[in-house]
Amino acid sequence: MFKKLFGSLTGDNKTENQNHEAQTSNDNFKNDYENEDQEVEYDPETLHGTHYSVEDFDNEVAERAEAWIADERASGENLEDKDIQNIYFNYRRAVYTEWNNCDSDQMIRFEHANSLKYSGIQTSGFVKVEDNNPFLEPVHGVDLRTYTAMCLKISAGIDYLEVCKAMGFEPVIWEELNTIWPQRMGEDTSFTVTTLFGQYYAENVTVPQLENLKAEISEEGAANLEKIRTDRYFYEELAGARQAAYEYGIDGAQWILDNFGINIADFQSVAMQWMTEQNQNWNSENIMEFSNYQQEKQKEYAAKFAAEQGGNIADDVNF
Amino acid sequence: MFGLFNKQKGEEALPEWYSELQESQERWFIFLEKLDAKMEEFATAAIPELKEILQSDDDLYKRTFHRVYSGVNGQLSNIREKARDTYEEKILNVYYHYNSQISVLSKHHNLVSDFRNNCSDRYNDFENRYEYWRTQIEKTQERDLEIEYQKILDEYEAIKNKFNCTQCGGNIQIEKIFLIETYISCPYCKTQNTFAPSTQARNLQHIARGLAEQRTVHLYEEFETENNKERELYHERHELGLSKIHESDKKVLNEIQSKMDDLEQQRQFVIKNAPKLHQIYLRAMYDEWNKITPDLKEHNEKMYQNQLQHL
Repeated sequence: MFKKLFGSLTGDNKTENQNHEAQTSNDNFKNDYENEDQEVEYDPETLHGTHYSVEDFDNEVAERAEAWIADERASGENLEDKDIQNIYFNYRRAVYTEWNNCDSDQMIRFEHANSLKYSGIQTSGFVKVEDNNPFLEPVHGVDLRTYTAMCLKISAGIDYLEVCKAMGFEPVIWEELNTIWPQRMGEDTSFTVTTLFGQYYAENVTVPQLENLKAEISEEGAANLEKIRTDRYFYEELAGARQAAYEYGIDGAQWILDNFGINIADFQSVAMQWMTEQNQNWNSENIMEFSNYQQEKQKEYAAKFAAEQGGNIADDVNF
Repeated sequence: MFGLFNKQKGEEALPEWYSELQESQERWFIFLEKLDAKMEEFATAAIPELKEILQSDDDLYKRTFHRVYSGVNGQLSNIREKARDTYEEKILNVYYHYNSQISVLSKHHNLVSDFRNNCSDRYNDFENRYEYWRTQIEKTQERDLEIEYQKILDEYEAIKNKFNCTQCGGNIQIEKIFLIETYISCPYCKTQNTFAPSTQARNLQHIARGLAEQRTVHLYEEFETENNKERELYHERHELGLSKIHESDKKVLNEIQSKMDDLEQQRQFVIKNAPKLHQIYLRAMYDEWNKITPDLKEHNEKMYQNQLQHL
């Protein structure tokens, strides 16, 4: 999007001029441009264009970044690690956009896909796990996936003692799991544990031992749950409502359960699911659309809660 | 001279539209005054209530308190939004309208910009007051964790010699405050017993950091003060730089320059010193934390190392 608006200002107008040659109207121009966007083929894993190698890309970025760094230092600037990281970050964006002739959404998708490589941080939806990561070693034989499955059951309202029984271990073991896994999340600066936990949570993972433990859910609740999973607007509505509830001193999670029959575990799971989806298919227009929709709904519900509580305290103050 | 006089006289004849600006400004001031009053009335009533609820909320997680707290903040935000929406609708829109009508070259244009400046200054006042009340409300969350810690210590003293083996009945000394359920083997018959700490004792791991921070807050404040100096010195130096523009006296210029150099030196010093003070604070805080929950030391030290990377 940025490029369409400002491409000619940023000096990369060669391709645009080529486009202009055969143009008769703006509409055609737009279509051509979009088609051209699609001509670039992306590697599904790295999201790099396939018309260059990753090595070439990294070299180009390094060359430009180092030149700039040398320049800065020559003029007496004191560059910290943070500054150097920023310089690389910016050149990565510039080179990627230039070489693939893409919009900022594509660039962000690329950043998400490569966040571990370039910034050492995982992004939900693009988690890459290496073998023998010590943070992912099972604890008492329980791996992260199983731990997440247990957490899901417990936050859905099932007593942890029941969950332990189904897993066949003493509560002591659960308490240790529930200490060590969160500690690892804190210690792991790449956020692999946290992100993976979130991803499993979004997938609503389960293990055979726990399959018979089901949190009670009404027929209406099940239907609503299915609806927030498939209808993003409905999810945004409930997310807005929940937020509004908190602002009126109501326990939002409980309110969702009481009114829509969805427990907090299922709700959070769906929230993670949409977040992962959003990361993978980054589209700023959609993101704006959903965020505005949620705000609009939040206002509607806020008005409703306010009415139930006899209005807001400053309702009688007018301009 | 006469020309200047005439010009001033000419400016005194204010355009008709000025009355609309004046009226809007007056309304805006009165409106915000009322909102200020509402906010004060509401917050001063809410603060003692919140403190009371926190005191009497027996729930470990203080859920009732947090619900009310969140509701109070919701009302405060509601007032703030009302001010923001009204500012956009009744002040900025009027300003944009006249600003597009009246040329910047017109002698009356300053009426338009003054209108905006007056209204936005008043709005900033309101925002500052909002921030003030918000902070006051935030403070109601603070609890003296020493009291809670003391209760846990007293409880531990009371129970540490009263745990008996389920198998042989032999007395098992509880050697420290356990944070989670733990197996303890009996020194006499070697049977493995499960010791389950009380809810209060379990909560120690959740208040430990807060308590450590409470105990080292003076060091944090020292860091904060130093950290804020960078901007202050920068602005002070910038002001001096501006004052040079209309100065031609070499001696004065030199004096200003040497003051500026001095400020820059101080600034460079605080840039280097602030992270050091931050580290001193963190080290002290983690030491304190480790004293409170030695079981978490290994984990905490890793967290400390990670945090050092980001100073």
